[in-house]
Amino acid sequence: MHSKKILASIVCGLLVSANGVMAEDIKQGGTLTVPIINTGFVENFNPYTSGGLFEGVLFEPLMVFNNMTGKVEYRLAESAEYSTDLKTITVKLRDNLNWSDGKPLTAKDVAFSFTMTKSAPAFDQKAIWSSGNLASVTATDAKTIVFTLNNADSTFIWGLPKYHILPEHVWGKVAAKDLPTFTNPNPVGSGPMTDIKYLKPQQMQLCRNTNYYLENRPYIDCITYRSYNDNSQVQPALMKGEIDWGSNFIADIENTFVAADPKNNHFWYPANDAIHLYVNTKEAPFDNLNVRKALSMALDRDEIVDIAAYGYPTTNFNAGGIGELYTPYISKEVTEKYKDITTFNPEKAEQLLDDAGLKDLNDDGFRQMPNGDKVEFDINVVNGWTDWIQVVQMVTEYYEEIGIKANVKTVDWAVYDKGLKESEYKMSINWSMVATNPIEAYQAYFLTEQIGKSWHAGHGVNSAEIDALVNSFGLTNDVAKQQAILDQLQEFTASNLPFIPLFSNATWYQYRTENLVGWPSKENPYVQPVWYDGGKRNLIINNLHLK
Amino acid sequence: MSFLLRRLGFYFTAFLIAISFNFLLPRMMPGDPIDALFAAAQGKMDPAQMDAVREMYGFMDGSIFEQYIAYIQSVFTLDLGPSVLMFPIDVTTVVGMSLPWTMFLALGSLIVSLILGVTIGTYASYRREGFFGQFVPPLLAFISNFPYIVTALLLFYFFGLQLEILPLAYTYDPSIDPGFTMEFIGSVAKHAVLPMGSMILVGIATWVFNMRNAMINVLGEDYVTMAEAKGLSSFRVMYRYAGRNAILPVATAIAMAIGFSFAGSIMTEVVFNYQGLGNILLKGIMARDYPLIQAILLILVSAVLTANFVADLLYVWLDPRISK
Repeated sequence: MHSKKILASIVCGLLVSANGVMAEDIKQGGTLTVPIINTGFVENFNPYTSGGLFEGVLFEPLMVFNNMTGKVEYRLAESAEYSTDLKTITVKLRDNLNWSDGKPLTAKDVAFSFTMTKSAPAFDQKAIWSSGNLASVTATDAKTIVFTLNNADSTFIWGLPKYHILPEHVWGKVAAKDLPTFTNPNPVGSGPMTDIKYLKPQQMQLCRNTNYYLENRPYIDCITYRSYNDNSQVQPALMKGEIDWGSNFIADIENTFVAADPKNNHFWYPANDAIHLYVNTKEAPFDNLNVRKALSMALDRDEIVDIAAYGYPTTNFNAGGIGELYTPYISKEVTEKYKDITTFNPEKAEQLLDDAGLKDLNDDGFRQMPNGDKVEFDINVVNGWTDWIQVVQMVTEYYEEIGIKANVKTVDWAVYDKGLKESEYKMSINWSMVATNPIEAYQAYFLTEQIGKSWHAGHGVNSAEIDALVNSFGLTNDVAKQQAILDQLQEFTASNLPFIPLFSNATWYQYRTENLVGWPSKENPYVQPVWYDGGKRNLIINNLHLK
Repeated sequence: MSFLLRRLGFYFTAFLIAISFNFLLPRMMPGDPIDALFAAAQGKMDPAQMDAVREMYGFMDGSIFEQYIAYIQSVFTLDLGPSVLMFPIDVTTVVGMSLPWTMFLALGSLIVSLILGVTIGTYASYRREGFFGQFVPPLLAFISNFPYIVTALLLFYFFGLQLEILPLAYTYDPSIDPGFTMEFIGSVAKHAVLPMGSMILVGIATWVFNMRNAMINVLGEDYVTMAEAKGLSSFRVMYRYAGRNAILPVATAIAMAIGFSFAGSIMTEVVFNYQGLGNILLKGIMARDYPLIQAILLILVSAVLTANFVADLLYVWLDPRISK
């Protein structure tokens, strides 16, 4: 028995290495099983209301902006180009595209798919219509779609993959007012898996689209979705081999998951969104830049990541506002120049606080304002988000070391959300934007119009100049100029410190190679391995195959 | 007849008060469904879309009073609107999917624990001096004092996680097609063992003690002594003479127990990821899915009130003096 297993794994190992050499040997077939955390499956195939179950699977995107490689991966589209005034985008489709029901997929369908969301605002995922910038979308011939903008905006194109390309011969028959409740029975799509084999409350299966536009793709035959209540049930399922792909936090993963089958059980946790402590700079003593610097220097980020976050996140030493998710865009110069701000240095922190006039006047162990007022503040965090609560707990301990009294305040999401947006906080932990380009994170941080709407603009560091700088990004298509703007923004962020960077969240990703290979991995990082992004999982589904 | 009308009036008032609470309770929780939706997305949804999404769900338009009137209307027409959690599927459909499983779990465990409990109670009272009568009822009382959740977690841990002999989740193996096949029925039975078992363990003591106490009273009656004097078998005395008379108070306690059984089912389902109402209720509460929470609470209220009404009818039938 034992020797058979060993023999089998040797044979498999040989097959894998052979695959690497001869791509034409890739085997067709096999089923990918993924966990879905929901209340059960229902007969709703509307991509806008089904909780992201079908994008990239049943519905193929026009293109995927791959933030891990920085490349644009064209899918239904073959190219997309801006006019020189940045007011027109011309998208060309590939030849011979078909829907899963055999009808041709043309530019008319694409134009319809975008125009449709004008009459269904809830589907307008990136607010392209409601923000007023999109004037029209027209199909100029069977392969060409032209987007006409009111104002030049080179960032506009990034929103396009958020819109699902749908067949006009099905969706055109639905009245606009019925769109949100339309369940799209017998779905017609253009993605890799369009054939609904079965749908039961706890499990459903989608199988290959025989009209898929790429030859021999997908390699796998079917995807099975299994419904789970929460993380705690996904973990045993992953260990028992019921599922192939996990996207959830697992405590002590090396000893629980990997050790169960070291040959087939793997994980890879690349950096995701950067987590910061947002500081309300409108209130004393945080209005003093040196106090904010001191509060940053007081933290030992390595220890926080190791102890409070189990070592999985990536420590963020970049004071410029973005983390390793955006590695190609990080200004090394800015990171170097402001290295001291993110380096653990409690002595320097204490000195900065002394210089700012915050001293312990009454010998109670904590500093007071120069006029004797207490310095004490709460750090907001959401109830039940245990990893963040542990992080904030550690932060308060570091602050106590330098004589600053801070408290963990766990609040309900609604309170936390309102606090961040309406800047009713002293300090609050929160994420930053995950997007195609870091400029979207800076839009959320600094644009004056974002105050009250974004979670990240309530810190009080806003000005007309910085608005102009952020907005100037969309006025150019030149990559070098765009990077120059990002560098300036990083410099601005690091020198003003509206938030204290801590770490980048981990992209939770576990995979099993017992059955399928071709996963993104540390050795082959072709895409950020996330299930919940339709475009990214589309690339992964297209790459998986039997071993 | 006037007694029944009075009772009906009472139940109708109770029903109105209860459904008003159903309306108020979810709205007293901080946050609304859209907040919950955006919280669950943890930054992956564009805040610019919030208003459009809020509009799509529709049911939160108007003042709280207008919402209340619309809600009362929806209760009486049974048109409860779409669920937020499973939009745009109707709440009635969602509930229809899971209600049978909860009824199976709640009523099944109630019936099993009733039969077992009454039998054990009868025997324990008849042999109350012996080892069985001395030992078994206190043991059951001890076990039943664990809350549902603790018993369920203990069973989950030992039989599901450690011994791996019973499944940890689902109502049946998702790879099997539902139907009247041995495979399907076997799978349903296997998946019901742990959740039902934990509810039986908790519920059984009530019946043992109800029955035992009623029996001990009855056993002192002259006709029992008479029966024993006649030399009837102890089985016959125990079940035909004493048991039949002692079961009356037990019958009326069943009404109360139905409500408790549904409540217990909610906890148990969450532990075993059993696809019943309780599981969905928890998800609904976390998502602030007002229509869904209201619908499930409505079912619970109706179940308890109906069971009590039936008990009232039973009283009248058993003891005609009440109706006077």
